[in-house]
Amino acid sequence: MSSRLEISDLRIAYGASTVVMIEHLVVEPGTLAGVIGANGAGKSTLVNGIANWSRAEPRIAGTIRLDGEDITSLSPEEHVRRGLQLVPEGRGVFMGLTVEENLTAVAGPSGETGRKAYAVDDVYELFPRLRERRSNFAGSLSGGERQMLAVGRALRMAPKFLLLDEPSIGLAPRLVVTMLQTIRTLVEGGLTVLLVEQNVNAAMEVTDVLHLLERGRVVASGTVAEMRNDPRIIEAYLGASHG
Amino acid sequence: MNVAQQLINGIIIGHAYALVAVGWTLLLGAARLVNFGHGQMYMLGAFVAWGIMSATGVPYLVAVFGAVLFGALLGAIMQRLFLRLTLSQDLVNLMIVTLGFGQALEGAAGLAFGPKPQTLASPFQQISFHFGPIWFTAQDAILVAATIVVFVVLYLILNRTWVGAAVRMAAEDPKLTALGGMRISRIYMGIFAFEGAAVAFAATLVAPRTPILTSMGFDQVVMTFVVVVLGGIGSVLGSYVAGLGIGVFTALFGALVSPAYTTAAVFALLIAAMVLRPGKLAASGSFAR
Repeated sequence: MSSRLEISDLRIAYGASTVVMIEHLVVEPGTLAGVIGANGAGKSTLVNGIANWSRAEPRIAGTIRLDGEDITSLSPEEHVRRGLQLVPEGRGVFMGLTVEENLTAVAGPSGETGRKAYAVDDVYELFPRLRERRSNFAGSLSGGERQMLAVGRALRMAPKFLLLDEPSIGLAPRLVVTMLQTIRTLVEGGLTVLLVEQNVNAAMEVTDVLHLLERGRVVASGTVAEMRNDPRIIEAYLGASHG
Repeated sequence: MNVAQQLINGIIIGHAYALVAVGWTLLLGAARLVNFGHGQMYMLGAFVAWGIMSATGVPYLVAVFGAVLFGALLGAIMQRLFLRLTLSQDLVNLMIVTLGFGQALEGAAGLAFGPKPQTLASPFQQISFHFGPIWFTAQDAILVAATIVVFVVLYLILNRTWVGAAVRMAAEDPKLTALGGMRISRIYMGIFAFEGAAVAFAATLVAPRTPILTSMGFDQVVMTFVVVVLGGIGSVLGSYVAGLGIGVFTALFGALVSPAYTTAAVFALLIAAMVLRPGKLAASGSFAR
């Protein structure tokens, strides 16, 4: 059920300004790839663009392939049907619905997909805290609980490829570790994940491969071990003491 | 001057206002959309029921069912026609095209049904109940009961079911709804179909009380708009209370002051309410309650 994503000559533009320009980027099946970079580097634009989902409707050119199939211009619902699932930054849940409603009111895949399906109870198994708060409105949850719910909701669609946009944003340090480790567990279970993460140290703990984005371009890519020694990473994100 | 009877009249008219407005309330609350062809859809609901009865001779209740089906279909067709405007929530253009659509419906109805006033004959209009100084017809009682049932059922569907959750999701964040694998245009189509069905149902229950004309749509749209706005723009319970309140207000105002100034008085009430408590009138995510 794991899945390969291949991006070629991708350009995402708002009006006249190209925000993201990526010649070639591959996420191998069953791996956890991280996208790191400063604010405004285009990380969110990239993952939203892959899912063809945005509140601002940019122009997207290029080719995005999921397991060989061109999925570039498909609608967000069609991406969901094919197993490419985005968890957008910030509000990934419905505040006016209860936790349980957030998990049940989805149009998951129908028929035989060969993908791992998560029942509501499976999500509660993964995030026991959500079971305790099942009848609470999502609007009353803490930031960490909302992120758990957003990821749980995404799993209900039985994805084979998950795009996660800063699932650790605004979380307490202890919860950041828990969240990223849970994502690692999902990858060990066969899921493929592209993770946007601002916390570079935390990202390095769990990812297999990292891509450094600057002004919409991938300026460095490599395994965590390679990237740890990359002077650009050390200078900008890890500080001199690590070098 | 029989105040008790005026109060009964007001309660009946109020339920009529609320039932006519319920579809628009959902449309505005859940989809943040407007339909100024609403009044003509009301008119068409009454005439389709009348047309079915006079052409085939079927009983009134069968004609009601036919008109409701027609209304649902008309609503769904409208959503398809104005798809792009509904998805981009372009309210100004949607207001203009739905106004135009309403005029087209009025013209078509004039061609199809003729300019003469007609009577939608309901057997329940002939049955009346008298209690001391007050009286009402079986039709009135059915109208009040049906309105309460529609509001209760709508409330339960919105708050207790999967379909209701989908509608509330569309209301809160249409873009995010798509990431749940749902097609937002389908949800909007369902809401439009409900609006068409509800207004046609209202028309078949209200219209037997008075003669029907193909030009009666515009007055309806004006009053419905007042009910929806006073009800708190898209609040389901709010529009019930507002409809009932305006019904009682117009009946008592008409009896105690002058029937000629009733509409003006309703608008004065609307302006006063908007000036005095504007915050309470703003649209909110809690429309389902």
